[in-house]
Amino acid sequence: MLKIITPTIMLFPVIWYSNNTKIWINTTLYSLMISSVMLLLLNQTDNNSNNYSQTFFSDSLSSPLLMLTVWLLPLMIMASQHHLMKETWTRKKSYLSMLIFLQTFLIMTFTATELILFYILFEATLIPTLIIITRWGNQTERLNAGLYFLFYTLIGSLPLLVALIHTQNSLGSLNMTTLTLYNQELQNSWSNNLLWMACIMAFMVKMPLYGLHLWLPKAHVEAPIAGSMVLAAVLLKLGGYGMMRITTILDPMTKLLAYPILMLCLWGMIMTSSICLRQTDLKSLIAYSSVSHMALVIVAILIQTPWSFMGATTLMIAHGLTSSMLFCLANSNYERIHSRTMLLARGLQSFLPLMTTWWLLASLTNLALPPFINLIGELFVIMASFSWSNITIILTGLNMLITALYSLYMLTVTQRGKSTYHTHNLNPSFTRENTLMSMHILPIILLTLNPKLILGPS
Amino acid sequence: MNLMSSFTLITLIILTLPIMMNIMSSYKSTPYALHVKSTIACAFTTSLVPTTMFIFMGQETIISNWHWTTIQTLKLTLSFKLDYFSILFIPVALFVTWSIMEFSMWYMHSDPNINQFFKYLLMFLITMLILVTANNLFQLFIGWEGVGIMSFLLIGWWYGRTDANTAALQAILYNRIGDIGFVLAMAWFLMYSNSWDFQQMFILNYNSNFIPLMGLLLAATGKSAQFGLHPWLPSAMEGPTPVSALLHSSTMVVAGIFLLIRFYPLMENNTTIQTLTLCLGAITTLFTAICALTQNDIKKIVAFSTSSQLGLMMVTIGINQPHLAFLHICNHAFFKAMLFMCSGSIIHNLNDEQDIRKMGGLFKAMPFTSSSLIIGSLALTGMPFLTGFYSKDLIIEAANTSNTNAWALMITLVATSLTAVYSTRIIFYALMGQPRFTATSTINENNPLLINSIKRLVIGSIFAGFFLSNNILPTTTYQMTMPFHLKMMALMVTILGFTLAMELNTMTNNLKLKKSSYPFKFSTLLGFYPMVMHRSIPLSNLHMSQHTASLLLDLIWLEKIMPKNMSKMQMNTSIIISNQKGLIKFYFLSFLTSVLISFLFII
Repeated sequence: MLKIITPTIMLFPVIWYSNNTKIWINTTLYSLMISSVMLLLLNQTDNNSNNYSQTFFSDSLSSPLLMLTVWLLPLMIMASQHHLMKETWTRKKSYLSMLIFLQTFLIMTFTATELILFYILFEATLIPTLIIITRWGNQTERLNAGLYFLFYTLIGSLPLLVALIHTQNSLGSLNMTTLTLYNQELQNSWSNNLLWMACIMAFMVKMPLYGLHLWLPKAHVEAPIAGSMVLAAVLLKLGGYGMMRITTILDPMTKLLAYPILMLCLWGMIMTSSICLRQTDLKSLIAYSSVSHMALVIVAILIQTPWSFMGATTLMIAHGLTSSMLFCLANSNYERIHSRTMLLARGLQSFLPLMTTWWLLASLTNLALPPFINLIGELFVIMASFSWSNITIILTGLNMLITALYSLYMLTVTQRGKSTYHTHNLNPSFTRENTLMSMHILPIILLTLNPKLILGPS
Repeated sequence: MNLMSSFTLITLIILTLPIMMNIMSSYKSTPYALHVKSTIACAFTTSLVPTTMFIFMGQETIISNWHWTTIQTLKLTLSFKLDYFSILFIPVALFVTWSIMEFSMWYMHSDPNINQFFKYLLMFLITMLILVTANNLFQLFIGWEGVGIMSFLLIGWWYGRTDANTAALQAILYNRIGDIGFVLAMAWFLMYSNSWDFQQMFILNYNSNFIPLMGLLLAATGKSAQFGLHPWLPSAMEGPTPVSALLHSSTMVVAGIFLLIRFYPLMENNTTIQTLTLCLGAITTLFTAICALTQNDIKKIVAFSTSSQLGLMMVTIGINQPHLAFLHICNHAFFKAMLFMCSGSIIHNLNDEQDIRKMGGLFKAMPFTSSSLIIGSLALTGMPFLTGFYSKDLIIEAANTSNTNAWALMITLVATSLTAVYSTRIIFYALMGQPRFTATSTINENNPLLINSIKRLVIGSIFAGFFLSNNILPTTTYQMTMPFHLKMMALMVTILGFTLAMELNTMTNNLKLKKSSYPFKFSTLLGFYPMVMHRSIPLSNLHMSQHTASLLLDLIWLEKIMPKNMSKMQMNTSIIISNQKGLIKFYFLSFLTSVLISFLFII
């Protein structure tokens, strides 16, 4: 594991000792090299985990997420070049350092063997994210967004600390692999119900569950591009990952207690996607669409069947790439139009035909066009929830319909139609942007060829 | 040696070549459209080999090659099913597409993105072939969604036009409603037969269940524009005419019917679903025929007639004659594509005039197009020994002699007669009488691209039905004996329709239109369906999402209850608890007085 964490930490000297003009290219290349090393992790021949040390391990669930995290760093660096163009070199460097802090924490979070280490790192990721949002966001509302982000997550996760300490006390270990071997079933009592809530709530806020999602649209909208990308692609998945890990120690309770949350998810999925239909703000639309996709993931995790776990893992990876790509596209619009309002960027197809292709592909993956991995994920979740209860197909089916509608509505409004006068002198799209988009879409296509890699524990 | 699988694969591979052509240098030098056209012609020729083998020996096969993934107990492979349906449909689709490609070289010649247009059409064709040849439900779904998305792109081809964009979105919306049914069926089959392969699903579900078939019916309703989900098809006429000819007449819209035909081993055991199919088909065929009666846009009339024919196919499935429905799909492809191309030729020559009231007298000006249009219309109405006759007549006979549902059969007969009525109307207004178009339009139909493409389909419209029904084995038993009046029924109602329409048209042509009656309004406004459904439901939905979901729940309640409430509570408590009230003057005053008093004491 050190061979990944050490190079990531060594990115700091790369930034600070690089020639001022070379920092972008150096960090991008270096982080791409790290991600190519990570590819080895995907080679999981069996269902066992790879233990690197007492502290770090990875298995078929965490390695796709890890791969996604590492792959996203060069993309984030590429995406924020224009955003930081007018800043001084020191600020650029400190921005990059924040991204790398976040990266290091994330890598360790996904590989931690101990739940308590996982918890500490899970909380530690808040700090760089908060700094990124509140320091480099575009508007004053970023402070409010930062507050919401911080306090929702903190309030959600503090009970988890108590619960973990309690579990450590009663079981004597918080090692994830050992915990699966304990066969101690929780009795149905009030205190155990509370324990379940405490364990689950932290991740529910992070995912986020409908009702606890208010921080997400604010944070996504106000964050700079790299912040939005990493929030949508990786930080939300921390919730899913944590939930899949922690449900092992909550064994029979989940079956009982999941009902209200499942209902809330299914309801919230429809609600958030219908909110998307009426959004005028491009980034807010994408943020709400994340909430609705993550609701599917929560449903899948709580149903707890092999199919649903596979669906959840696949959907997390697929959504990570897709939503990050959508944010990049929204950002490239923002850099040209200087507004996030969709109506102001009409008819871009005439000016930026290649960008339209990327928009089209991103919308199609977002609406889960077969055979993309997004469809595999969604389909598996729908299958699992259908076999759990037949009636859910009405809600999940409706969600499919609305997802398709708002994805294509977004495409139609921004790309189609007549162009407006203020858009007549736009920059053509940069090679950097096209590379960025293709680096999002290529993994999706490649994974579609072999979805086994990201199916998770099966 | 088995030529069947190899030649089918070659057909498919040939088609993918032009897609990858922009990497090559010849992309810019040779005309891409020509290349695509000849590729399809080539693929058509190749695909004839397996078809000949099939006709000769009745050989069917399954190709199963690339193992995609295994998930638990579900094995997903790339597999092609070459049976009766797919093997006969591939050449038909390729033949029709070949002509349409040639036609669009003429129709779209001034479009700056003509290469992209051809690429889209080709990609559509590939997804359609994937749909037709798929041997498992997942692969079918790839094709199914693929044709949907390609239709979205092609309908919205002129992306500057608001109408085109709305129509494209509308098509996706209705198709997606159908997809819910498809996914439902997929989920059900996965749960109860643990497989998406057709063979396994058919073997395991002898007593077929209602739920998945209902899902499939919903899917077919969406894709094939059956009543309830039909309005997207006429709206889709916003796309270029070649698109209407390819997608919205001969290939994509029959995908729903094709799906039901694929699942006939399950459908034939479930009478409830058959009755539903029958009634749905009957309502569709009559309703859309009524809508076609009063339309003035030539493309809309043809579109409604397509919808009506789709309803007829649905009826055929409802009376448990899937092979007959399939025959009608094949025959229908020829003449309907041709009708669209003829109307495209008229529209293009009259400077994009689509209103049949502003045409007239075209028989003199465009003899070739006019005669093709008449042949197409006659084939559509089931004129004996033209293509449409071979399937339509059999369908009506089978319907007449079946004892399923007299009401549905009656309605179908009425719709059949209305087919003749609206066909007459097109012929009467567009081709006969005096010209009513502007004198400045330059009419020239003597372009080989136009003539050849239509000519090929004319031949198809005349002989294809005979050829097809002469060569393939009838797999379901037809009714062989029936009373004379039933035998002549189809023909009689059609002739009745023709005469009535002719009489009415000549009689009322020069009459002043009175205040329009309710039946007339019902027909011109498409049964008030779009007015009601397209306003009330989206309005209430969007209102719900804005007011309830976004404003009330998200921005007021959730925000009030948690963050704002919390901060307010903290603020209030801290205000109550703290001694410090911020009264600086008072504090200083008390400080001052105490200092003064202490001073006084000291002094």
